[in-house]
Amino acid sequence: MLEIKKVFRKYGKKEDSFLALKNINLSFEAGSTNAIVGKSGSGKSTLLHIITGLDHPSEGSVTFDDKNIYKQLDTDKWRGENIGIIFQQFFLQPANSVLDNVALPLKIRGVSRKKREARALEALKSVGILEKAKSKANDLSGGQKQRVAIARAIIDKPSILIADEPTGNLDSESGEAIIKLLFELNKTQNATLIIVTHDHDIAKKCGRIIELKDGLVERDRKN
Amino acid sequence: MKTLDIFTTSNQNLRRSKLRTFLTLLAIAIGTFTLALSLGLGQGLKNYISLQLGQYKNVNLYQVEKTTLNDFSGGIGNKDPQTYNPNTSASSASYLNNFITSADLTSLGQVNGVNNVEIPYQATFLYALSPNGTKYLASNSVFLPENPPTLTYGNQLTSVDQGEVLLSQKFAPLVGASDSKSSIGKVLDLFYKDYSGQIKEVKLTVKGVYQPSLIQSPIIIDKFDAKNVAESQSLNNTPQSNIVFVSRNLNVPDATFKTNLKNAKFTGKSFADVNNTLNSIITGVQISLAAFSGVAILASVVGVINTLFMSVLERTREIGLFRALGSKKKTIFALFSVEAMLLGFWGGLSGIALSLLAEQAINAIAAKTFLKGIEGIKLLNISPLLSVEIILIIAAITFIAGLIPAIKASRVDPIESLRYE
Repeated sequence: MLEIKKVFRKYGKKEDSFLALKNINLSFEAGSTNAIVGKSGSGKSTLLHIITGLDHPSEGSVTFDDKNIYKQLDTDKWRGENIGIIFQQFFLQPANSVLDNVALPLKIRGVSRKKREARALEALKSVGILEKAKSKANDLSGGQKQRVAIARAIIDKPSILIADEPTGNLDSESGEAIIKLLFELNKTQNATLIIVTHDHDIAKKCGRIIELKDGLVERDRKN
Repeated sequence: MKTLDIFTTSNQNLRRSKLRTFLTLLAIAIGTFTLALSLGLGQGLKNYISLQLGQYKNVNLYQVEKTTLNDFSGGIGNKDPQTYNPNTSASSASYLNNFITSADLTSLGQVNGVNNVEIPYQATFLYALSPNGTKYLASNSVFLPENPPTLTYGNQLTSVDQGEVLLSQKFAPLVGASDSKSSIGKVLDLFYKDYSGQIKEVKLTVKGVYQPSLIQSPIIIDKFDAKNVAESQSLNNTPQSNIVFVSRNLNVPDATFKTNLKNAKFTGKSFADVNNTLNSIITGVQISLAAFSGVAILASVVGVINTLFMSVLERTREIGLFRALGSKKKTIFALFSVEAMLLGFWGGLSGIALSLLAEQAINAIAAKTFLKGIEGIKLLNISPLLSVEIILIIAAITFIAGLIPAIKASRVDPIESLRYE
């Protein structure tokens, strides 16, 4: 379970300082589906960075299975092993093959080429674009690119799947297909799904909606 | 990330911006090329000297001369007047004082460590007359038992031989022989002018034939005949020389022996000293040339730093992605450092390949033109070991040059680099 306790995030120094997050307390159950909604500047991205360990809280703690991810765990290693991130802009390596893009997290973790390619093919199969394995990432459509990014995120079966505006760069048809896929993966892989979105229709599909405003949790409700 | 994956990933990254990588590699290759040629030239000359003098390193023979007064600074026109000192003033020395006298020979014989003194009688011949009537120049030296030439045919001279001669294997035509082997036993007919101006003839039988070398004359005459001719060419039958050859008692160390000579106002120089002096000169020239090459390499290093900085700027998003996927800072650092090192490796390899081609071409041209007739010389010598050393040095330099961009890359903030709002 992922728990965020009394988290504050302050940027800048003294007079110019700005509180992006103010006393955030949240916990995410394993296998749950969660939506984080809010306007621009509400603190969604900051919260996302804190959850993934890319950023540090100024105060408070983030624990995973009762271990502080900054103090008791190797944060980079923990992120690589437990968090799958899906970005709005996909962030694929355009000149590389789909297979190489999907296998990248395992390459970073030092898994042998043979094993990581086998796992990448498995991940591509689960997102439905196995036939594109040899294609260059640049040659794919937006929807296909996001599927590749999802395959990359789930290649090592992470405990937590974080999607940051996953449909932001897709047409509505592709967007719906991607959301459907994410919920399917949540069920089949029992991964905690956290979707950061502006789209209330997507948020409504989640079991829980967390609404942020000015760095505070304004509403936290179950669907 | 595995080391092999770091290397393959860095190598792939080099191919992303092909033109920029090519230009950087070209700059490194030019630097490497000039470095390899300058070091190869020095090595070639060193090898030649070693080949020619190496066999004489252990020859127990010192060229000894009287310690001369060499302070001629009083002769410079704008200097103040200087007082006369019979021991140090240059005006107290004359070239006549430099000739070895019988008193000097006695004095030299008493120096601790002197084993034997050989006077290098220098016979000057007008020409050697071959059986077909051709007159050849006859440069020669006297046989020194401590420094015998390396024979290919025949027998070595001894210190008591008379009427015999050793001939360089290239000089067979002087005795009318078709090849060096058949010149053994043939007669070398030499003509010279005595002190009164009369032309005289001396006939010497070829006893042995030897390999030509840089420091040995093409004709080596037995001591008896060299002395006879030299005496007949000198005033009062007394040949004058400003050097003698001295062999050392091996129980006296080289340094002590030289000090003993110095104390007796003589200066001694062994073959090994000559070899070392020449090598020192070449090393000096080699370092100077390498320093110029260093400037070219320095310029290419600036290119490497520039290339990597641009690469870091272009790839900040990718660095952010790597960090988001669990990559550590040290992995990012390693990726860029290895990329810098690979630039040096490939640039160095290309430079070495070019220099090896140039080596072949230059050596071939030199052998046919300005070095024609000089045995055993290979102007450029870029050995495999030297090539590997240069490539490794260049790779190490570019690795060091890449440290700052690599540190910058490892410090890229993943949050900033992945921001797209």
